[in-house]
Amino acid sequence: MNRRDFLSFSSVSETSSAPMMPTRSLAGDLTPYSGPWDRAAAAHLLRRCCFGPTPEEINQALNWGLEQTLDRLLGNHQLPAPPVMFDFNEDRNAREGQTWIEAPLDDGGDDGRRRRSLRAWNIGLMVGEGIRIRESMVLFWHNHFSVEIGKVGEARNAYQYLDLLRKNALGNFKTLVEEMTILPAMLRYLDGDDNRKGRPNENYARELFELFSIGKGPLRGPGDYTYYNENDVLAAAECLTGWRPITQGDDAGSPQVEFSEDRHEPGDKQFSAAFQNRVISNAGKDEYKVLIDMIFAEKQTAVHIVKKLYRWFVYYDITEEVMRDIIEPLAQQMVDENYEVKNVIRRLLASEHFLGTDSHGAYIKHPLDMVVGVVKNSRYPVPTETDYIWSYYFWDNMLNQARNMQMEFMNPPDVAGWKAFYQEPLFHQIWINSVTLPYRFSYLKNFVRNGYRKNDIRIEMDLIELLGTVEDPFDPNLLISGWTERFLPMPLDQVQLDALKNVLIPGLPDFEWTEEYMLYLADPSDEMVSKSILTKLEALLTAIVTMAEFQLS
Amino acid sequence: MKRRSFLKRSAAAGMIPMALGKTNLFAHNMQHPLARLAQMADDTDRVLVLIQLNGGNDGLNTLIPLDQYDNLVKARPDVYIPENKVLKLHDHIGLHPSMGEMKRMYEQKKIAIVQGVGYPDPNFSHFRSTDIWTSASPADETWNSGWVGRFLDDEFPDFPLGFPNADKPHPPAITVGSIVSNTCQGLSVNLGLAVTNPDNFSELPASGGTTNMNTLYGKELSFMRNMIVSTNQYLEAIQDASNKGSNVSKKYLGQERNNLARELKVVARLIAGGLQTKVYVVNLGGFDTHASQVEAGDTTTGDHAELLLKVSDAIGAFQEDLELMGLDHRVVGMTFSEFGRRIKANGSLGTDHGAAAPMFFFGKAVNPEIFGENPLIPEEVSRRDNLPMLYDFRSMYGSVLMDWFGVEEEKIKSWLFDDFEHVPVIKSRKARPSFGREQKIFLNSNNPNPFRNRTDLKFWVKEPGVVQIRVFDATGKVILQLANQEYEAGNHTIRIQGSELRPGRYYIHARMKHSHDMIIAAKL
Repeated sequence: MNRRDFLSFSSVSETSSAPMMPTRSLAGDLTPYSGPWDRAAAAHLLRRCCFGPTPEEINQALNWGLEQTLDRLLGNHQLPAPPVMFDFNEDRNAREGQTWIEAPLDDGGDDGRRRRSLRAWNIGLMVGEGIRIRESMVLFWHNHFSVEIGKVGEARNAYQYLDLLRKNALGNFKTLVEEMTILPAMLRYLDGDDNRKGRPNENYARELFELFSIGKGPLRGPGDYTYYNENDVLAAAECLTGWRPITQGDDAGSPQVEFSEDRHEPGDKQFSAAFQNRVISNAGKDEYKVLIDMIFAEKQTAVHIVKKLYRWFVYYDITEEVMRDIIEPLAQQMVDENYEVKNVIRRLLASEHFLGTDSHGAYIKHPLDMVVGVVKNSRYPVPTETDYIWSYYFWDNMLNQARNMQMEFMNPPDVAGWKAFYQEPLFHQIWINSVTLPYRFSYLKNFVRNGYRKNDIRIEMDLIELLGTVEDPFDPNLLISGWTERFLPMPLDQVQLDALKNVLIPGLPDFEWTEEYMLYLADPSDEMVSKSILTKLEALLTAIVTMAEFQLS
Repeated sequence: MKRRSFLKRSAAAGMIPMALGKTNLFAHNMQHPLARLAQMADDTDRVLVLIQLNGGNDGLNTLIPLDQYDNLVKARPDVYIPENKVLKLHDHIGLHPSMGEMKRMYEQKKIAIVQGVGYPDPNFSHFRSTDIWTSASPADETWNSGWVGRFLDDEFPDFPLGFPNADKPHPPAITVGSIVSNTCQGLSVNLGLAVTNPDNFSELPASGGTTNMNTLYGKELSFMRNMIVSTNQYLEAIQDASNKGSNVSKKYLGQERNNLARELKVVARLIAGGLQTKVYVVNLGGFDTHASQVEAGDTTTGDHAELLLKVSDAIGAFQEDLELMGLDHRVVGMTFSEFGRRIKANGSLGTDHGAAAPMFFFGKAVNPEIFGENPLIPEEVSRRDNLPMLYDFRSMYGSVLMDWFGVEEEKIKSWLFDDFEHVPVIKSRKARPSFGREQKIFLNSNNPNPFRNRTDLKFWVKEPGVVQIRVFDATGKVILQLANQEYEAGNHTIRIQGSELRPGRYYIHARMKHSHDMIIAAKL
């Protein structure tokens, strides 16, 4: 699109979300970014890879430069310590403070408490992430290999599933699909345990094609989805017969699977022309790998996953230009590198297309991004590791907040994951509706005002400390620009900055703020003065985080 | 909207809330002049409630064809419902034992049932088939708008630009629950608002500014700002209706854990409170019963029994609520699910993804009949066999739009499909030919049958008209169209060449306006 076309529809978009808005592509291709490594570029990179980076982390990235920042984001980092019990002491195999990931469920145990521990722990990893892409990738893979925690068996299965995603977060996509195919959690979730000789259950085989690997293409004929057809689904189901999870019961350890020759379909499996009419003969317990080899020999498998990665990190609209300039070359690279993920992501993140200003701020935050992000943005004093019980309660609360906004970690609506990541044409806009918007706003207001409360414990945001992070806290203009830069993806215009100043010091000259703040510093213990300062800061911060802009990243 | 109809409607809408107190003025005194006013429902007062059963409801265990019972038992030995437990509607057909409320409603002439609703090329993916049902696209095309969205786009042109306004102050459609429905996706935006708890609103802060809007950032930002503004206006209207409205039926009691009942209760209250929303969408999930659809030993229990109990009880309570408030003449409801399930049980006490299944319609305005004959269940059923469709789901949508909202046939064809067939599930104000039970087309068994090289299909037509004859394979797919043209009254013969069909079992389906017939044929 040339510059003129671009201008011609701008007048439409100013009045509304413009029903007939033509699509246009983000500028730039995969050429390495050559613009300045400035605050805007560094902030953009971290916002899209981490959950709500702080200005302090952005400064760190600025000092490192782009290459070193990418090294750190994509580096190999130690795996976290496992989750522990935090609100239940009746499980003799896993008392409070102890992990349960290999412990059999005691008679007095409650698997629900373990699941709660697991999910809170995972939210905690997002909060504690720092300059790393791993937790964002874990969430990406969780959305891709979607499972619902209530349908995977004991919590030990769910831990094993997350552990697999974390270990392979930046690893090899094909390996991940192989391991996922015979993972106990997945065998349970998609009925692999019912899939046996003579009674094939096609549930997993169908999702393997449709969602997990090659993806569904245009319907070309009855039951023919271009890249595979209904017969391929049945044939693949037969390839996968024979695997089932071993019931653990009182046994300690991680969940195990077994392969039973008796339950495996020994006959030839005939695939369609989409797979060159390939016949897979009996290969027993290696047959699933033969099947996956066959699917991964098709470049479309790389195209499918690259499109999902693009939508995860960049923007949901994949235009013809994006397809040609970004998706196709990255998919080719993925094939050439035998489905290694890391270099493909690095090339995308380091590109003109991603880092150029065109893509900045156009991503509607998903609920976890927003809930975790505001905690990090505001330097909220998350209860420390030493007080692990309070940390877990706090993380558990964040999980519930995101659930109210329609994103419950480890409980997506179905096997396709959250709609906002795949449903055309709205995509990310699906997060925002008349139910979720009020939830988002009331959560933010409440968080700024009350922080987190449980029983008689209350952990509030430290607004004075946050004030101290701006360049000159005595100058109300710098306070406002400092905080808006911290919380919002793009600079505000003067009208908006003036409106925010009117919230801080309604109708007063700037020096009134300076004087109030000096009064406070002269005697921070004077409750009257500190209260009035805090009230003002709270009003300002509430106004900032309840701007529409805060919902964008 | 015409000025006149707006005035008439607003008068009625303004009065109803006053009558919704404990006295129930309208229900007990239908001769009251206000009651007559409220009864004057025109097109703009009418409400459609869509009940989506997510996961693929098993039609064969919901509406049980008793004349096919032996073959049904054979095909699903561990899943079928015992004959003496089936709630009989007529000699040859009955409902699942959980559906007592809906049986009662059927007897009270408030339920219509359409058998064998599906589409010609069944798709067995939940997501794709849900997309097909919500968009009403052909199975081989992807349409981004929903069928209700296209209808509402026509009623609310350019939405959301210029809405809400004085003439149409309320949301065009509401999804009770948290996710807006794809059914209500218009050509550009979704016309349905999601509402969970109508009592818990506070106005959202709107923010302006002069940010450059011709970037993608600007596009998403203006989307956010517009959502805030319209959410606020609509929240106010919904809250207002919720405050004015109420529920009267006692049947909701004990259904606190029934999500569908909870959602329908909200719908009844909003309608009672004067909300002019045209379409409500509610959901119940869990119908993907691959396993433990029934419990071993007692097939009248299990997941499916619990789900159907929820559906039936929720609809029963909702209908009674509307009746007690004198609103039942304004509301029609219908169920849909992305597909039915296979004929054959899968060995895990469940059933796999299938094709055609019945749809239920309810309300005072339905024609309380069962449309379409019982499905034919062959003696030998393979794992992949499905029921062929009798009615295209798009014809059902179109019939509702035509008879309930007064949409012209031309528009229906352009929004749905050219092949639209009117099925009078809803009483029309216009006189239409009665559907009746009289057969206007009759298929003889093809001869020879089974056949190898060729076979002749004889059929009889009562009066001149267009006859469509199609051949479905055992999986429920349309393979061949034998006729789609005008025929004179009397006997006709069509020759089918064996070379056109692979060996196997086929269903031959003939259709005229308001009449169907079907036979089974076998090619050697």
